[in-house]
This record gives sequence, C-alpha cells and structure tokens, in this order.
Amino acid sequence: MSEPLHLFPVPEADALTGLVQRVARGDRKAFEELYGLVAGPVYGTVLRVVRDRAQSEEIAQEVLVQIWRQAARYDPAKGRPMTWALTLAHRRAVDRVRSADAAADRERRAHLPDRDHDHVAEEVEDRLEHERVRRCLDGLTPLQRETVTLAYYSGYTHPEVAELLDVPLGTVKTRMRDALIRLRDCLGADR
Amino acid sequence: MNDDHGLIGPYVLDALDDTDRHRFERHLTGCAVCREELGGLRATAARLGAAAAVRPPAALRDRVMAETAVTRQLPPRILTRPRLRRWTPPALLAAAALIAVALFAGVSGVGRGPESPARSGIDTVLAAPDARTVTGGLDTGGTATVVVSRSLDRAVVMTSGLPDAPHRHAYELWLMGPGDPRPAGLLHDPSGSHLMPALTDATHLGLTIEPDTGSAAPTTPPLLVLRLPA
Repeated sequence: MSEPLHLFPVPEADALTGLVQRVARGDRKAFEELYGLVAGPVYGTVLRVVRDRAQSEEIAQEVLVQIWRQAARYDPAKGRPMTWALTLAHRRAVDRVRSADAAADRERRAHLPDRDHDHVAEEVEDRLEHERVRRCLDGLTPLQRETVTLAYYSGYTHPEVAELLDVPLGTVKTRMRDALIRLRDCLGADR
Repeated sequence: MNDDHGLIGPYVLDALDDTDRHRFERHLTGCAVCREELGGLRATAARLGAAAAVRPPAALRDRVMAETAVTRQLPPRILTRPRLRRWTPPALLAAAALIAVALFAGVSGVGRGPESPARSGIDTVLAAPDARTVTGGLDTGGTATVVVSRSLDRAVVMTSGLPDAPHRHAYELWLMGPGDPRPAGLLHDPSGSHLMPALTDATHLGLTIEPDTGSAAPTTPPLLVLRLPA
C-alpha cells in the first residue's frame, strides 16, 4: 500500500534532494556529485566567518564529512539540502570563532583589514548569485544591512552587534528579523 | 508573538549564545507558525552563504573523499514508527492504562457526560472485539494512540503530552485514503479521547496544526501519520 503522504503540500524536491537520498544509501558517486555542488558554498561560508584559510579548510572538511555521515538524517521537510549544508557550515564556523581558544585570534581578526568583496570576488564561484544577494542587501536600510552582515559574515552575537552599532538590543533583534524577511522577499527564497 | 519569538532573527543568523539558543529552540517545539517562518528565513540566510561561495583547494576534496571512505554513515532516524499491535495482553494493559488516564483526565470530544453519545461511542469502540491499537510519537513531543474497530467502522484517538497548539490554532485530525484527506475533528484538549467519524476506506490517520476554526484541507505538513489497522 502506498503512503498517501503526497496528499499534503510538501516543499518541492530539488536536484540536490535526490543526490542526498542516494548518498544516504552509501552511493560514493552521488557523494562526489554532491561535493561538486556544495563544497564551494560550504567553504566560502566558513571562510567569510573564520578568515583563516587553513582553519576554514579544516572546518569545511568536518562539515562535508558530517553531510556524508548524516545524509540519512536529512529531513526534506525542514529545508533544501543547500540550506541544511550551509546551516551546518555556518554554525560550525561561528562555534569556532567563539570558542575560548579562538578568543585571541578573534581580537586580531577585528583589526585585520576587511578581506571583503574586492578580494574574494576574484574567486567567487557563482557570480550571478553573488550579485543577486548583493543587490538585495543594498535594498535594506543601512542598519538592517549592518546587523545582518555583522552577525552572518563576521559571526558576532546580537549583543556584540548592539554594542558595535551602539543601538539597543531589542532594536538589533527586530532589525535582524525585518532584514531577513526583506531579503527573503527580494531573493524569492522558499525554504 | 511573544518575546521569545523576537529571537528568530538572531537565531537564524547564529547570533545567539547557547542559553538563548536553547530557549528559542524550546519555544520552537511548541510553535508551528514559528517553524514555518524559520524555514524561509533559514533558506534566506543560506543564500548569504551561497553568495560567498569560493572554489575550495583541490586538496580539500582529496581529504574529504579519503575520510568519508573510512567513515561509517549513521542509520536513518525512525521518527514515527507506528507500532501495529495485536490485541495481546501487554497491549491490552497498555491500552487499558491509557483509557484509564483518559477517563480520569476527563474526555474531550463531542460530549462529556458519562451518558452522552460520544462517551458511549468511545466505550463501544474500545470494547469492540476487533479493536486494534496503533501508537505513534510526534516529532514535537507527545503520543497518539488510535483504537480502530473496522466492524464498527469507527476509531478513537487518545493523545497525551502534546505541546499546546500556538495561539488560535488547534490540532486537527485527518482521515486519509484513496481521495483527499478528510477532516476528522479538532483536538481542543491536547490530552484526551476523541471519537472519529466513519472510517470507510481510510487507511491512514494524519495530524496537523490548523487555525482553531478548522481547515477543509491540511495547510501544514503532518506532525504524525499512522497507518490504521486494516
């Protein structure tokens, strides 16, 4: 008897979903394909937060191995595979920069010249996506943009963002949510 | 939207410390609306990451392939395993205990008095000679037990420990078969017994969160799907 689950509206599967399902069954070829599609975004996400290339490679490796290990635990109802992979990557990157032994590095990192768009743009993998997101970020108010980029790209906590921008904590919380909603609508991101 | 919900922005951006993160995750388990919003915001944050994609060094690929070649994969997690039970003494005892709890806690559903049609309907299903039980756990917490009598064409759903539905929302039951899911009643009490309408050709029971006025068709993904004993 077939499961009538399809009667419920579920997020549309994308190409990556099928790959993850094959990886879950131990398919090495599928994992190589998946690697080709997610390694760049994973490594780039981590690198933006951590900055140090050696550490970023190490974290990206952990995340990609985690994707292999946990493929059978991936739940399509909770989001697309790329979202899953980048959520894992960003969380790990942030955990690394916040861990106690990184405290000193972090202090230094704050004084490093920002290796931002100009430098990284030379090696950006998906220029179209890069431009699209940049355009949507430009559509935010300056405060919305700063709260999002300081948290996501620099890995700061929301009290740290409040301190850096010298605005109340409550304002930072609401600006972060407002910014994400505006970005979602601008990007047409659906889960 | 209470104060905890305001943490959704920093949560999605990984800008919460561990204490706030756990607080928000507790809030999420009881808030289907938040989980819905979370999906879109998380996908949005991931786009920020995807926009920063950089071609990794070739050595990374070699290391990942080498490590995964010797790394065992985790088995799938079985979140909802409907346990199809025969009407054996242990199952009977378990069902009897649940029924006792349901009776003690007061029966929700159509009627309340011991003489009401719903009450006697529930009793009749539970006492039916062909009654069979299926139990499943919800991802979000709590369990649902269904007692089915095909000879009576009726079923009773007993729930316990379900998190409160979000404000102005309720759990709604669905009977699912060859056609579209049929609404099978709202659970106003997250721990109680509920007599379902005629089963006819239903093969599965579904449970979703809906506006508390009820929906004609499910509008959220199911929290639980149980296969009904044939």
